[in-house]
Amino acid sequence: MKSTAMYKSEYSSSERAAPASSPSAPMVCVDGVNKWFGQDQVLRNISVEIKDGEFFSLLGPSGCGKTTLMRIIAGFEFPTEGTILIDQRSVVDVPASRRPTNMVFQHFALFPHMSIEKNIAFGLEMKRVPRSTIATKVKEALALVRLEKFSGRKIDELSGGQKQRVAIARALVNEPKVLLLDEPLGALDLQLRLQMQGELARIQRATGSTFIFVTHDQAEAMTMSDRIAVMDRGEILQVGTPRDIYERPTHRFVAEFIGHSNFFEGVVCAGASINEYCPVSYDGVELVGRGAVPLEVGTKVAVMVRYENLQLLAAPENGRLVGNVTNKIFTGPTVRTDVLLANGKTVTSEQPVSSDAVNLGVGQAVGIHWTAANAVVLNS
Amino acid sequence: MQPLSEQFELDTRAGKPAKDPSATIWRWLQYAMVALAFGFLYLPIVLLVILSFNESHSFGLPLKGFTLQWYREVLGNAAIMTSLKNSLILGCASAAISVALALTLALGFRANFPFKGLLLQTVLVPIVVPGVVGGVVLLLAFGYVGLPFGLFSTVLIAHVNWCLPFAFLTLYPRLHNFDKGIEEAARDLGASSATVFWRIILPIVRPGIIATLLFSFTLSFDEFVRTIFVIGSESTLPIRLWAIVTEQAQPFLPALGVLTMFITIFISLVGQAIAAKSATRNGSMKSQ
Amino acid sequence: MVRTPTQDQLLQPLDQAAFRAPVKRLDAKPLFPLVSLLALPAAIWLALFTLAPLLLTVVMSFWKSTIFGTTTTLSWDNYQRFFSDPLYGRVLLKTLRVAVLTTIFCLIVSYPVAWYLASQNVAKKAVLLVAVFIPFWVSYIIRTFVWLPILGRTGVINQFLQYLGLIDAPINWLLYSEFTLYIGLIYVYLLYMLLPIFLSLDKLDRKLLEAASDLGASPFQMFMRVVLPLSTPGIISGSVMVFLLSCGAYVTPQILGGPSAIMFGNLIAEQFIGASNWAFGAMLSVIFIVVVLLVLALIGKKAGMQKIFLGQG
Repeated sequence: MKSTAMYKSEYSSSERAAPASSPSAPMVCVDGVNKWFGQDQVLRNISVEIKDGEFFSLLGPSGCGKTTLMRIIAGFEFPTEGTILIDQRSVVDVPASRRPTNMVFQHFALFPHMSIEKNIAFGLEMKRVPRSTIATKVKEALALVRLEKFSGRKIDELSGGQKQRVAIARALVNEPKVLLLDEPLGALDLQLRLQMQGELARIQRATGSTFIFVTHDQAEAMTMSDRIAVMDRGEILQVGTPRDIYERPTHRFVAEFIGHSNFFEGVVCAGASINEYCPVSYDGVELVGRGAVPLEVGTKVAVMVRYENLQLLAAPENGRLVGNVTNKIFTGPTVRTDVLLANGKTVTSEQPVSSDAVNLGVGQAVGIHWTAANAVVLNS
Repeated sequence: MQPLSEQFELDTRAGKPAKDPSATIWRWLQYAMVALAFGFLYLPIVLLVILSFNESHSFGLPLKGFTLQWYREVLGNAAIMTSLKNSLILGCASAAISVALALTLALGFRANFPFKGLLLQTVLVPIVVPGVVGGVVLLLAFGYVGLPFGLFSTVLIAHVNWCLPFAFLTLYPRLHNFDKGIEEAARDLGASSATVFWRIILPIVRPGIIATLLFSFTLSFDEFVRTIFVIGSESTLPIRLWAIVTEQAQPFLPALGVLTMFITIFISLVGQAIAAKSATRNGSMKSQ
Repeated sequence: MVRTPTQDQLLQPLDQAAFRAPVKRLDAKPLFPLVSLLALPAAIWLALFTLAPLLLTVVMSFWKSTIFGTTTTLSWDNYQRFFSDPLYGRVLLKTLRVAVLTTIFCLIVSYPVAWYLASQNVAKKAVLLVAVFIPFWVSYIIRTFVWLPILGRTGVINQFLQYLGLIDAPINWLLYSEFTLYIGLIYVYLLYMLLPIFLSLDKLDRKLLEAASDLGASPFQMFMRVVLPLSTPGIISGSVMVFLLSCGAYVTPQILGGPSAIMFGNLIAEQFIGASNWAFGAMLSVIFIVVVLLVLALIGKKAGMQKIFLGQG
């Protein structure tokens, strides 16, 4: 399976409100970074630009290198090769303590022998900010994370969510140019995590700082980010807005990692360039989708159709493919239907309960159909 | 409809679960062994305390009467009091030096460097070398070099040699398992390496350092078999005890023994108090 | 500055450069990082006061000492004397035997106590722990010495047995025999065995025992298959400690042992305190160290010595 080098989507229009000022120069610029631990290469040729005021996520499975990349930006690791620019200044020989970045750690890393205020004040003390100013800023930081009532408490009296908020306050009070968050919500339970996601988004909008967020949870990345970089095995596979990544994945891994999709493995019938309709031969049937990358005749590809884009027709003869319903599940707002095709493949369709899909019965013969614009042809 | 218990003739009276007889035997056997062990441990101690009040002109049984004269005699004996003072000062000095060396060594071990393994083996040498040999080796070295024997030259060196490996073995795990995340957080917030040590690492390992200081003190306080080879004309408490014991068993010995016991009890209780106070103040690193 | 791949590049195979080794590392670490220099004071101390004296002792073992002084010419005389005179070998073997047996007895006595302690609740455990420590807070010279009025002819035990009418005349062999030696050594070194075993057992998760019981194990099986293996690091650590301490015993044989119970430590001390056989004493010391190291190496092969010493067991 071939993998492509980093590729920017042509559909970079952001659906979220752009930050008030968008200067042209990027806040963080990573260029050609390679990292070896011993003989093990954990980052391959990483190049990415992160804009000022952006909420940028590094998304990928465990071991893909996202945390290593973040630690390199923070200064806890150094790249074996490559350059890092923060605010257009090279930081490759600048230690972590002098970079304009601050980090929120996954397991909080709060100082157990200090009170909440002292924890938050620590960074300001290091910068020799005068005492009175520190007191004011600590109060503001506590207000920002909505912990005003907790001043004076000890660290081990706090719950997980409160500790995480202290960690965020401790980092933000220093007004860093870049805030790095290393899976900060990983240690929290589901309800708290959802709540904190909203909090983080609010704080980012309020402060206007650049946030770089590492996570393996695709739903988290999708809801919070302006742009996402999807990583696997040390490489950045795709960078784009949540919508880009979802609707126009350029890479099979990205398509599989985000959302739920059906994949039809076939061979290209006629060459197409990016985003052109590309016919694919599948089991004697011609399927059509938009090409994610330039494709030549004869290339092995997969046609990706998301569950919600796969339509089931009560009249089987109207569909490209035919099959029989094997399973029907009500998830609440949607109905998820499994269909077994003649060649033994099972595909899934997920439609709102208000649609006709709810009327299909198990065992019924149905036709498979989708709008060509909604399908993506990817390298297999 | 009959209740289930009547239908199936179930015995629903609440009662104790069936006892396993072999487990009971094991348990009583264990109690017996523990009682015997504690008896073994405390028989000499109890005898010691009793004999310390014994109004008899020779050491040992039979019991002749109650007196406090031996305590008075011990406390008034200049030689004994001097040796006690020497042991106390020497203990503090040995503890301070050993812990300082052990602490810097344990901190240095956080990085990797050549010969690290060899250094680790060398630290453990004084434990592996049997007691007498430890003293002999220093006697030979000091004799060869011509270093004059004295409390704060040769004896101090011998004591630090003995305490250092133990101090290192207690401090090293604490520093090795120190949460690196906290250290990185401090550096991320702008702390230099020195600041990280003084403001972050030191306060958190302070209880461990105090415990190690007390432990080293007790090791030095009780040290005899190495000391005897390198001591000059002065004495530490164990040296003086040995002199008394080998010359002639004096009747005040039990009183002296009880007194040394109380000194060590006092130090240990002080240590426990400090440890308890630090634990509540620092919170636990495990809570993260 | 960020490279956007062209159409052709997208069709290329994976960048071959990514599979090479780095040309010049920006993250190369220095051989002696700054932090490691902190180890220097201790390293210097150890070199000066631990290694150097040892080396001198080894060299000295090849010299000759007489009442007229020590000659520095190298010779094997001392070693020859060691191997030719059976006395030294006998004492050495006896010392090892005593040390091994002491270790075993300490193990037998302290294991149940450690297990009992570890099974108590937190409050009782703390109190019992202090209760175990208190006897060891008396100077070990006195702790050895105090057995005289217990084991002697007019001592506590003899008087007690006579009072009960179990014996007519006092037992002689209680004191100044090898039996006394063992009593003394076990008494003095018991804590060094008990503490590591206690710490090992204390770390044991009670749920493991519940699981074993749930799976049908009898108490005996639970002990053999769960408790014992998991307390092995403590057993080894304690045993090594007691073995080393017993090997180096000097005070206990001298006070309690009588003329027959001399151990190698006493033998070595004689060369310096009584006579002036410094070179011979050096040789005995060297042999002693070598033998002890051999024994440790043999055990160490079976257990992970370093890990146990460093508390990772």
